[in-house]
Amino acid sequence: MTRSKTLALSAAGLLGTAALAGCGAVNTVSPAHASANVSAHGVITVQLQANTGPASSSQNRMLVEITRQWERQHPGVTIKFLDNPYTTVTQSNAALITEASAGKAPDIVWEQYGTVTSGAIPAGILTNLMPYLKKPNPYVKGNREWLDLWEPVAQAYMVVGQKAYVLLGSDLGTTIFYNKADFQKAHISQPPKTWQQFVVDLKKLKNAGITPFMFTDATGGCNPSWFERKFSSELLHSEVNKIDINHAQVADGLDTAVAIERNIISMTNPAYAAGWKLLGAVRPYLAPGASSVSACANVTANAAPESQLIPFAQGKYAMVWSGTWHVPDLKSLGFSGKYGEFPFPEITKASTKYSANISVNGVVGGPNGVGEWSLTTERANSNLTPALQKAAINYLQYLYAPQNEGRWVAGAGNGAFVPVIKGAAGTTSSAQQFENSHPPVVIDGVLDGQLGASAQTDAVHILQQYLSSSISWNIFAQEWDAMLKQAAQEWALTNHVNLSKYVH
Amino acid sequence: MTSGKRQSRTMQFTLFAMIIPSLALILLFSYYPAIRSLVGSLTFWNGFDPPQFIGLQNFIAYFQMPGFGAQIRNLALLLLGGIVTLMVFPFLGAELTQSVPWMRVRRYVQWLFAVPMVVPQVILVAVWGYLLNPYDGVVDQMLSLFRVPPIQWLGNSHTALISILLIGFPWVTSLAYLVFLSGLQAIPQDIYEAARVDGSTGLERIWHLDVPLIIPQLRFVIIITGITMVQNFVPILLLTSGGPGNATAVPGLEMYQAAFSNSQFGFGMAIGTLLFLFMLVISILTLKFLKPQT
Repeated sequence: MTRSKTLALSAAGLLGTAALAGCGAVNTVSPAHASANVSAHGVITVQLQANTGPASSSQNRMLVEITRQWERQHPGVTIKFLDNPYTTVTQSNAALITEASAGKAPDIVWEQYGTVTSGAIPAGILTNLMPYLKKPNPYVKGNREWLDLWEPVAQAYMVVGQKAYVLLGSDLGTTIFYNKADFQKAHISQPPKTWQQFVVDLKKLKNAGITPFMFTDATGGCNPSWFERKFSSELLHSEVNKIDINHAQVADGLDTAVAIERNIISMTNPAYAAGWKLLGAVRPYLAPGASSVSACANVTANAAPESQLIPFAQGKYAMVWSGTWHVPDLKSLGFSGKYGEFPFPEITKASTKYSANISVNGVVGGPNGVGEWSLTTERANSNLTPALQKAAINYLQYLYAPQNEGRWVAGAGNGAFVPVIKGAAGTTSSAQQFENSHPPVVIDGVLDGQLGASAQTDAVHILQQYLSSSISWNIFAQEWDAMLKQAAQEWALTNHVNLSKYVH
Repeated sequence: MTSGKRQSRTMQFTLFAMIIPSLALILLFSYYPAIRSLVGSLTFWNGFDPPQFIGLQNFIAYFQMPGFGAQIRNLALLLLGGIVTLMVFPFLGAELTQSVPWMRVRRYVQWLFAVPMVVPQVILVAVWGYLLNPYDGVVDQMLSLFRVPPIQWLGNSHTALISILLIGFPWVTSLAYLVFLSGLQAIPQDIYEAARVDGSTGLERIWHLDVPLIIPQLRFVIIITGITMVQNFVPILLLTSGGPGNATAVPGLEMYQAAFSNSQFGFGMAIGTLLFLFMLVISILTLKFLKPQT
């Protein structure tokens, strides 16, 4: 078969698939035309996401298929997928840094917006993609700037200080799964909407002899960082202008460090302390063993932290705070139809006077599903010649074109991931109903790794002690503040930032 | 020089030449990283940018970190517990094996005790993770027969460290068992005969004959057990990640997390250097005070 025939068939196949996927409204251009400026020869390596398995997994099927289509249009370039043997993005990044120091980093790597914007990855490893995002995507007819293809909410997470080190692929939502039989037994007719109602229901469940709620607090357990983000974004909302240095959707490492230095993220700030006090008040209703399980672990995990869903499906506790991406797992555990779900309860003035009475549904979850990719630099990766870099960008432009992105994301998420490219075919899911509103500025703290993995680990250990009632509130507050101050100073030292410039 | 001597010289040289590749590889992969680690411990290094010399700051930072005291306490408890479990039980196992009067049965007992050693540690840890699972673990199910409520073995700060020590129960199947067994087998039978004539009991024989005569093996096992307990944070990494709180945090885990999770390679190397010095002191003291007896 001649090359032109191959290209023509590929193009036909591509357009056919796009039409099937419901992308008729998208103006696509001929792949042959869009590929014309790529003349590289060689191999582009792509480090896969840890939680989607190897290239052969069903979750990566569409990604591989779209990639093979792109390869057929670029006969000189091969995309090689590298399995990701790690379980978290933190571990994956630690390996990336080591590889980069030897100039052996993969060309395209899995990232998450939080780790990229926090300063956890040394400068010089990832390429600033903004110059490319400001140019047209050749696979979309009439596109003036590639960046315009993203939903505004996603752009807000991607671009910080006119720089973009990560391309975002999909949105997802968190949700509380509850055991219907337990709710019935405790005479709870409908799920709680506010924190105040939530506490009442926790009491009802406990009185009915049921362990009410698993709040996982293992390292990487997810719930603590989600809770910190929820209450900080809500209770510190009125103080955002004092710390929002980067003027972006998400407070980055600098914002967080400044907030600590200004005693806004501090136990001396009653609004901040109120958040932890709310959690402390529900300690009697939390399931034990929280330091051994994670809300983010796969059900197949056989080392700590393990998934909370297995005991949940066994009826060991009534509620878990999880993600919509775990719906297929509950099905595989034979729990379909036995559980309901509701968004995390809103913290209102009925619970604390510091509530801003705003919806913070969108601050957890967000664009962290699948399809978060970064491009490494020539310094981190000696394989990446200028010609190959150009090819890699072209490949990414192909992936993040509306006619492709939706198929890929939907194929990976079992309906849990919502595409963030405008006009991309996607699935509607509970994630969308939770996350469709533009969230306020997301204030992230230490538990999400904003100030580095070391501070994150220390914070988890202190919180574990507090939640297991091993330490009192006063000691918790004291140790927490000491940890915050140290973390801010270490972050400033690592990132060569003079914090005093922002504090006084 | 006679041809015999020349041949002997050639043989010696050949043998020496055959050692050189091994020596070179050991120098490259064992000694060089150790020296590199010593130098690296004096630097701030994120693994990517060039290291910056910061003197002893990494060491000071480690001594001043909030969890330092808990890590040292946990390490001391693990060392103590490890020496008890990994020495006493294998020694008892070796004594019991030796006391079996029928040679064929004794050999089977040896095999039974030795074969479980082939199970990889990760598998053993995973199995114990299941056994101690608070919701459907076998240990809690057995205890429930005696109306003992479920225990959060790994999730409770009071029981987590004990649970780590529990791994491998009854602790007989270890290298120490084989070392003690070979030591006991090497004791000449006529000494036992003389003891029997003197009318010594079994316990007296163990205390006054066996223990003094296997001092070299005891020294070896103490040092190896010490090094194992200091270095081996795998069960903790897999089961508790140092938690809950700092209940199972140890310097080895801190070293690993600093380097491979937090990209604080200089800090990790500083902890590694301290652990090396610590074990060096323990080893020297063991060799000095635990002298072989005849």
